[in-house]
Amino acid sequence: MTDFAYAYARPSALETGPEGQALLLSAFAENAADAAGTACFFRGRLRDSWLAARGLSTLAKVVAARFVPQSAVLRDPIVTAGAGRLRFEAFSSCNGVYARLDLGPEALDGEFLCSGTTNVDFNEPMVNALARISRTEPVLLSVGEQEVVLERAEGRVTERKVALPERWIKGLTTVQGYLAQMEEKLRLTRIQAVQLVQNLPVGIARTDFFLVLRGPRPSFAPVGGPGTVRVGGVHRLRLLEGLLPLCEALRVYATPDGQAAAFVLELGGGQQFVLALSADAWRGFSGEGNQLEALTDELPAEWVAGANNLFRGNETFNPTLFALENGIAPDTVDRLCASLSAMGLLGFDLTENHYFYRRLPFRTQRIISLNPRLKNARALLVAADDVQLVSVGAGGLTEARVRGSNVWHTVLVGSSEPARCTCTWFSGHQGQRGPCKHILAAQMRFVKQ
Amino acid sequence: MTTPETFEHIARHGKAQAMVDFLLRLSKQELLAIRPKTQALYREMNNWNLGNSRFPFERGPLLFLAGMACYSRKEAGTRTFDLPWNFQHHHPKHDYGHWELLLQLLQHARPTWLTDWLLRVTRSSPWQVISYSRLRQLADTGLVAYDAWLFAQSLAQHLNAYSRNAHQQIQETTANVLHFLQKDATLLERDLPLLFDFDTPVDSAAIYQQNEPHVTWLLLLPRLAESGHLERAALLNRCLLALRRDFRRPLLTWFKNLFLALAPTPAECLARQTELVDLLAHPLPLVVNFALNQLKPLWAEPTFAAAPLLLYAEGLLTRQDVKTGLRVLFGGFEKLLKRDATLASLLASLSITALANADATVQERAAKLLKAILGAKKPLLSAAAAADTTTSLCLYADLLAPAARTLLRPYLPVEEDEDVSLSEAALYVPGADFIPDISATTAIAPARDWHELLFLTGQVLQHHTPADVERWLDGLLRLQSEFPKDYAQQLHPYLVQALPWALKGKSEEETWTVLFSYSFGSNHNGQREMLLALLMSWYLGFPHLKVAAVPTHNQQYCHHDPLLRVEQQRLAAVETALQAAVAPLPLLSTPTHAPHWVAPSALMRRLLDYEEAGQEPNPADLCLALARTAVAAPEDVAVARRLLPLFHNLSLRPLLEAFLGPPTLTLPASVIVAKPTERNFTERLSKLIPFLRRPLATQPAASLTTALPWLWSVAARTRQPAAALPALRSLADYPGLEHTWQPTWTFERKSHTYYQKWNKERPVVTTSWQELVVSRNQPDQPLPSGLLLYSLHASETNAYSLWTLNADLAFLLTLLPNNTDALYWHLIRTGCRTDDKESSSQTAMQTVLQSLLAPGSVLTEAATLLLALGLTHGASVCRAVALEALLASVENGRLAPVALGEALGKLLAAEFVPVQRLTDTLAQARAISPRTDDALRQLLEAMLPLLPATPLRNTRKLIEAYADVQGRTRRLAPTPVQQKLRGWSSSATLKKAAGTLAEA
Repeated sequence: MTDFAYAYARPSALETGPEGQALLLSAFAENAADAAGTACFFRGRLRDSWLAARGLSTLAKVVAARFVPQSAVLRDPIVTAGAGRLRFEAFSSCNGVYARLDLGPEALDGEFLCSGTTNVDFNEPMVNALARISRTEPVLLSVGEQEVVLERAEGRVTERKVALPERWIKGLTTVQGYLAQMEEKLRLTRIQAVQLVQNLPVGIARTDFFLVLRGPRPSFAPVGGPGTVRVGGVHRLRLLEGLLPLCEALRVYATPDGQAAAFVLELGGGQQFVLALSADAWRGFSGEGNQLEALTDELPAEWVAGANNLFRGNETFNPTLFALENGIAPDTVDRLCASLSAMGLLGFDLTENHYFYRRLPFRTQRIISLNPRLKNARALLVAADDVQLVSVGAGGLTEARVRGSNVWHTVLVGSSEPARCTCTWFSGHQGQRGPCKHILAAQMRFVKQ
Repeated sequence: MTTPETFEHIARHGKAQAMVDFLLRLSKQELLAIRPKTQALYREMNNWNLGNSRFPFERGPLLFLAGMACYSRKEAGTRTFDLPWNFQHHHPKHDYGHWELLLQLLQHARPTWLTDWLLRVTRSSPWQVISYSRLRQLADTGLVAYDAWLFAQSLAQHLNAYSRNAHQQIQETTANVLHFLQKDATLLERDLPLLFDFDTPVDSAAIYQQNEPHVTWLLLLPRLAESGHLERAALLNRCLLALRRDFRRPLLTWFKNLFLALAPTPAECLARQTELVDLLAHPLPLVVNFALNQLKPLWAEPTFAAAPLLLYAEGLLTRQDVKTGLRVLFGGFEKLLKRDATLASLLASLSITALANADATVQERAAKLLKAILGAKKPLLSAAAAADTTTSLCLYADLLAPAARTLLRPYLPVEEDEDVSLSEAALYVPGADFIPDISATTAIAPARDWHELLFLTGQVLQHHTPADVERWLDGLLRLQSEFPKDYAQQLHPYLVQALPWALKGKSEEETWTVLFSYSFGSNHNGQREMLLALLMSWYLGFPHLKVAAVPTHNQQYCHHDPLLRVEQQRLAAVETALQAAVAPLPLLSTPTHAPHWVAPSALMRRLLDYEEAGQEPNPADLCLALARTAVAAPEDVAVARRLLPLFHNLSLRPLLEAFLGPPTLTLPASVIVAKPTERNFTERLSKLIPFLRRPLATQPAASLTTALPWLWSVAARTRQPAAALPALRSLADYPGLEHTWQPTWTFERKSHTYYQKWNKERPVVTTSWQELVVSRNQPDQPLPSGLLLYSLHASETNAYSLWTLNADLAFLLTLLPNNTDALYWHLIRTGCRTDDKESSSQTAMQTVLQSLLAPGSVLTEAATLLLALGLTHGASVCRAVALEALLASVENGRLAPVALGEALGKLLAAEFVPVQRLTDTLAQARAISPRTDDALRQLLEAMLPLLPATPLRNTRKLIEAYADVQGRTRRLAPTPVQQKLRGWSSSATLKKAAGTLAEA
């Protein structure tokens, strides 16, 4: 799998100038066409620089964290500038934790020179410098640099090359899918948020824990029940230890099936930090397949391109309102969103309950290349007899045989009930991590013709 | 010879000098030609499968030199291309001139990737760091670009290099090193500050010397500051800035220690108050406590700025991990208040925030300050501010610990008279008789069709949930007529999933052959293997019976649970019924209602179906059905009784009448089987001659007639678990028949002594511990029948039982829902003997505690003891589940708080478990609801009098917990508790806590 390589003209830094401290974030936009001309997305003051620095430090902590035995490779956060907001997004090295720092209009006092999405350089000296910003210190923030092109013209040596892994794009697809499904489960005060950290189980949690309010206290119980929120790999919440005492309120969201949970820290002053956790510490967001079913039905390319242009202009949109306003079926809007988010183009804002657009390159081939299960399902359809119809029953219930490794799998699709298969993936996960390739193949052949 | 051949020859037989001479002669093309050979030799060197014939590891440096000359960035990035130890440091004893050769080669080849390679190698292992002097040499010659992180890592480990050649005395070594450092301006000015910017091993690097203290950076840096080579002020600043970082705890400790080693004066601290205050936002208590301690002498200084500190303090006050620091903070607040009375309003607000802290001491300090502010003779607050403070204060009233409550009583709302006596809802009383919910809401839906059964097979194999297993078995029997012709082909993937090592890649014919002759090993077979045997049999079309062939006899390290043999007989009955292929009847024991109840009416209907089909029920199935029947559900029992007249089986009808009728027991004469004279004689003789003793009747009875007496006993004990049933005496003299198997439990102190002659100071070591012993009243008689569900465990004492029990425990717990005590006692005996965190015991404990979460009858002695053991278990996850069980049992009215208190009292008094575990667990149960508080009060009131007169460690926390619930429930301490508290109040540690409570 090839990573998307990008490079910076100079390292990000916190520099001291005549106007005070300036946080200069070097950027590299994958979408070269956007980057040309205006390489600076935002320039201005941070209204609460100390708090923003804490948020960025926590983001750096998430990026450096890993919860499965694998090497930690520092990756750089993605920043989206648009609709008067700066959104810094990142995943942990294991891809099981998604974090986003949103700086809203109240948090920023400056100028958005253009909308766009970019990677910003998070090097250690800069993280070091972030920790040194004190409460009352004014800080100027610059995302990207106007001099980038100039410096290149002068032949300045590129300081650092890193690679944006495909896993991140896959993770972004899954995360937005989960975030869009989530419902608010709990709202905690600042004191309760502090207690939340204090009540975290000691050590590495091997089993699921459930967040529950007992009296006024939030607790983590090893047993679920009504009103509880499942939090897999609860020890990952320690990433928020430094930030929780600073938040004004904490909102806890979860998907109805308990496959992901999100913690939204309202930091005040237009700042918000989102931490989403996958179902287990060993499960990365990139490996989930919650969007696969929506992608099986290929929409006409011009529809996807049209939606891309529309959302690109509007930058944020509510899917339900969008469907109503344009007279499009909600199901079609879901599929459009899935197609765009499969290219990493859409994110979801829980508080505002709307999607936001990331200006990344519009490459439809990413949809297939980033979803191997979909690719394998299509490969099954290529052979003439690998997917065979057995019967079509009441309510459209279709039974099919799909070739596996030396076995034939029985697959049921097409009814109001969830699709089922006799393969190991389905038996193990019971559809919680998206459909297997056999189900996808049967759906593509017999249901979505 | 070709160039690669020459190269290989030198690599295998030549010297390093010859290799370098050879490499320097090569052209670019020739270097490219030897690249694959170098890679191949590297692979050979690292291939441990080749044994002694592989490329010698000692010749690795020659390959390394070749790699440096011919590799591109890509090859240099491979994991195996690392820095051999010969090149890392200077070794006076082993200096073969390798480094000079490398330099010579590098200056010739000048690889552009050298810096990146060094970064990778350094990141990969702390043992791969090149020495600082050599790195500088490379940088000075322009071979390596300056990289701050790399230089920091190398410099941090610089001291380690001295360990290899330091043979002088410490003073001499220290002086030499200091001299070396002092004369290197680049090191001091450019590189040394990097130690404060990166996570380096500076905290662990040292010159290690035998029998002498190690020379560390912590020793050297203050000396350098003293000698003026480092700026002291800059060093202090850098320490404080580094402490803001999210570094490892030991590294932060090192920065803290360096700051302290520099012994800053109060003036220096005062100059750095901003930096110190900034540390209060750090997540680690280590840093926060350090900062507060440094700020401590500054509070009263006129130039000390309080405002920034108070800004940070707010976030600190609710943290439970900085209790020591908070004590200092409140000391400071008091000083600030004296210095500047205008801060009173802000300090009052902060103190109120601190009341939310769960720690009683912090609350007390906050309450003290609040009292000082609100009760000052000269008012410190305006009337409005005072009113606001009092209003806010009242919001926290419920959370206050007794000490804080006492201090703030004048400002809290007056407790009204009617509040003093608790309402009925707030009193905890164990529930009356439990009635299982046998209704449509709890009814279990059977598998609907073939497809559901098919996919249920996958769930059963993967997750093995008891409820799924029962539905699957039921589906197998009920849906036999719906099996499609190619059902075996559809089952094939599941068999491959279950036995991948035997079936992966096999065709269907090969699979059939493998499964036909498949036999299970003799160890660790449980329900899972039996179900797999049934699945195999089903797949094969039942050519022969496989379930009964699964070995379940006891082995040396494998002791199967006796209940499994009953299950094996039940599953064998399913297999036989399916083999017969004539519309098999469903099992009698399949649960009809959640969680695992068989509705009495459903049992009767099933029996009527059996009678109508002229089929005799399987004894094991009927036995388990009786045990699972919801006999305490009166409405459904009434329905079942109405069906009884339709049932004509002469042997079973009296049993069912007694089972579903009033709880009196008279055995019919036909059931009391006279022992044959021969057997009577053998039994008497076996008391004298051991080999004549009959083995345990581990196999359940084969026919209903022989099983009938034991079915009577199971039915009677299901109905009346604890009663004395003299009628069963005539069957046999065995625990669980006439009298229930009710063991007693005590503690025994065990010790172990071992000798260590090499240790002159401590040649003999004795360790001692407490063991929980469940009475070993081994029955004299052999087990009369394998169907005696409530007696099976009475004689099973093998310690290996637990190991094999774990896999099936969740299922076994579903077998005896009316009377689980025998299984509980067995678990206590085998899994809770000592207080350790052994994993089998942990798993078993979690499983059994989970089973206590559901509604049910009041916990028996065995269940209560298990709960007590769970609440004080060594593993935190067990304690967490036990807490859930405790809260659920209060909610469901199952808890017997007095019995639990007594069990806990015994455990603590025997010092089987430490007090701290219990107090930590109970702290999480406080203030959830008045009912929970009352249950905890009763528990503690039963427990405290049982504790020893000489207080155990952390008894104070127990007293505080009691004071907390007592304050909340507003009850007076009963006399035995008061006496105990009076006794403890003479102890110095408990004087305050116990004395106050005893007087109340």
